[in-house]
Amino acid sequence: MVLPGDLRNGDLWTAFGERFGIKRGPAEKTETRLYDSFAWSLWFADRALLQQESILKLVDLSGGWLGKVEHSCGLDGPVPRFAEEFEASAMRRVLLSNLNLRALQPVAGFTCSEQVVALLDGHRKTVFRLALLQLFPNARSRKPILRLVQPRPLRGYDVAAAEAMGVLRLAGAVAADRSPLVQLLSSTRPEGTVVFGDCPTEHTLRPAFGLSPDQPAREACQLIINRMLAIARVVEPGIIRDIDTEFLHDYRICLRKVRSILSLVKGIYPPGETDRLRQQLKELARKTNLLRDLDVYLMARPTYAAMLSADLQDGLDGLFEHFADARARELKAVVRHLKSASYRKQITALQQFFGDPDHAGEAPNAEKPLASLVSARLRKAYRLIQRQQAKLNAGTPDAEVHALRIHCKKLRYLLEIFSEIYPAGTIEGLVKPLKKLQGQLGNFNDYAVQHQSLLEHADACAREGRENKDLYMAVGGLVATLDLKRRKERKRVEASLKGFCSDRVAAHIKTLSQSP
Amino acid sequence: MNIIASYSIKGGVGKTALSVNLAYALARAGRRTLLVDLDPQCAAAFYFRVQPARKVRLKKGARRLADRLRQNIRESDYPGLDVLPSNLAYRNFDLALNSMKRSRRQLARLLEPLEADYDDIVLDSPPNITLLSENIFRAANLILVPVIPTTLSLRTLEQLLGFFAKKKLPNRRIVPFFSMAQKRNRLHRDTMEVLREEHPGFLQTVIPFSVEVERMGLRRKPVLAYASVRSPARAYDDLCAEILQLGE
Ligand SMILES: Nc1ncnc2c1ncn2[C@@H]1O[C@H](COP(=O)(O)OP(=O)(O)O)[C@@H](O)[C@H]1O
Ligand SMILES: [Mg+2]
Repeated sequence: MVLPGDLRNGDLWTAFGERFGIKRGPAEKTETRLYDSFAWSLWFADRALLQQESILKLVDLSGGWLGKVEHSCGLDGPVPRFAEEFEASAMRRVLLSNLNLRALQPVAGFTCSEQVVALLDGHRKTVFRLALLQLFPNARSRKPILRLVQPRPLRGYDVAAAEAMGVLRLAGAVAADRSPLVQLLSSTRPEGTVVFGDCPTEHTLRPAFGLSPDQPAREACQLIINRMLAIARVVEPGIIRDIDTEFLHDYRICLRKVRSILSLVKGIYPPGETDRLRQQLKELARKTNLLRDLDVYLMARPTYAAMLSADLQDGLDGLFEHFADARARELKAVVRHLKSASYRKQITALQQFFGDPDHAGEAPNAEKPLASLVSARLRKAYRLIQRQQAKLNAGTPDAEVHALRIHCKKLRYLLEIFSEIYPAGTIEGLVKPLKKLQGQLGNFNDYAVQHQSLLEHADACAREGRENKDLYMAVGGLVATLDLKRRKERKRVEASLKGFCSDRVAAHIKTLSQSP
Repeated sequence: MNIIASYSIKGGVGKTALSVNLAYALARAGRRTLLVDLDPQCAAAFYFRVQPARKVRLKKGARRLADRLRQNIRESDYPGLDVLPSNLAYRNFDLALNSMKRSRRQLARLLEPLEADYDDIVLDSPPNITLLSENIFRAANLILVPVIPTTLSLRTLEQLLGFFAKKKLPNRRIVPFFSMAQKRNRLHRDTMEVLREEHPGFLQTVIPFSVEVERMGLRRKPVLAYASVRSPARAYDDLCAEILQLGE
């Protein structure tokens, strides 16, 4: 139950004192820190991770008190940064499924003081208890932000319990069906109530734009592009502080989306402008390619370990030391780039360009309805996939399979970036098989690319003086396995592709590209 | 579920002091414990500041009666320990039991439904041998008998054993221990030695005579709750451990 802000503790004790004797236990203060990811992944799953001294509690915000404790564990050091670093437990599973690769960070903090108060009868027998929980902005503060009481009735003392609850209600205490943290962190919270921490804000790469099919194409695209650039800016500090790998990943997705829109929705800017912008975005993305590749390598260590027999495992150590060193160097380069004046100038120029709708000058398709442009591209992308599929046989060179990957990517972007213009529920049936196909095409491509890049990294290792027999044998083993996997994956691609070019899917695309 | 009775034909030997401190020690050891005060004097409940229970009419069926008893259970001030206070109407317990079928087993039947709630039930009994005592003997799986080390006490223990033999009750359940023993008292020391020889079943733990125990009446708390490092308190703790070991 939440106590009203204007009720003084003393008044509450006086009210109880009229009916009961009172014995107050010691007030125990604990520093409490709230941990979550940048995306508030736990918060938006209705949970909070609380650290109180050496105890970590995962609470369900739909419960009262500070939250319903779902899991808890002891800590013998700082709070682990990643879910993966927790000891195997039910708590770890919940954290993993909500946080994925995101790091935990302290997001808010306050001081909790808990005191148990016993109400006594005429024989000084305890007949009711209540726990008083007071939240202070910090340890020195004397003015609580929030006060909660938890009734703890004793078996067999129903009459006393009813009286005590009556006193609480009369004092204005109201039952809280959600954790008070929800109110405490909301945007309507009282001024200056939490020491640090912002209000939880959702971080998504797929926000709702409210697009409509007949909206002018440039206006609609600009809406998306502006938002994507803004998100890219928001995640920059996370890349610079190297909080987790998701920041860079998101950054790259944002830039790629902008670039895709420019190439998919043709003619919404003067031709020279479009090319210049695309080139610029490509260049910006390229600056982070190597860092992302190295992140992927480092995360995939278990996968690589699984590809090698036990006697070849030793060579992985050297290889991954090389990856880690290379990543540290590359991170510095990316940080330097992101902090540089030239980058700031470029990215703000881009934001300004897209921020002003009239800035760009006339273009043939700028005012056309969005749906007409997107539909035409949708049909075209699918036609190209069909054409490739018809030609595909065992002898088709890998390069043509890679081309297919690009067409599929375009199709996927057309469906997902502009999903709002299709009638609800109509694209899911297409996206699902497309995702599967893309996964296979992605693997097929990755195996080839990794094959090549591993050989290059082996060369780099030699230059670093890291060469040794084990490392080469490990790389040899990986390359051989990758080759095998690539061939298997190609068979899968052929099968999925056939399904994706069936009459049923073709008909679906047709209705979809006509419906808006 | 353990049902442990504190029983003696004699009054003033330390039955209630044992019930109160044993129940407390069991709860402190993490066991869910109920102390049932069967003595109309209500002394056990008094030590926990629990008021006498509302009148329970004993004529009703055993099931209904069990429900009423359950409603009279009071949570003590200590975690894991509940008290079922006595009621002056228990004075008629014997009469009522007499009028029931299978009158010797009624108490066991009344306690049965509490099995799910508790690990241990401690019964504090009134002195004398009555129909209620016989119910206690049949319900409890352990009957702790405080014996003050004097010759007179020996006679009461033997009286009890005789009763068990006559009624064909299993006398294994009877576990005597020395209560209010005075180390400096020669007579006490000698009697203890003789008795241990004659009755090997005596507990190792001896509860010493101590003003700390007498003070319970003023403090209205188990001695373990206010003088936990003193020797009588430690003795009750040891006794609790010894009993738990017996059970194993
Ligand atoms: N170990 C002891 N040392 C001193 N006094 C005791 C001890 N045990 C009990 N007493 C006191 O003796 C009196 C009778 O004890 P009590 O436990 O009520 O006996 P019972 O329940 O057998 O009648 C009480 O006043 C009690 O305080
Ligand atoms: Mg007594």
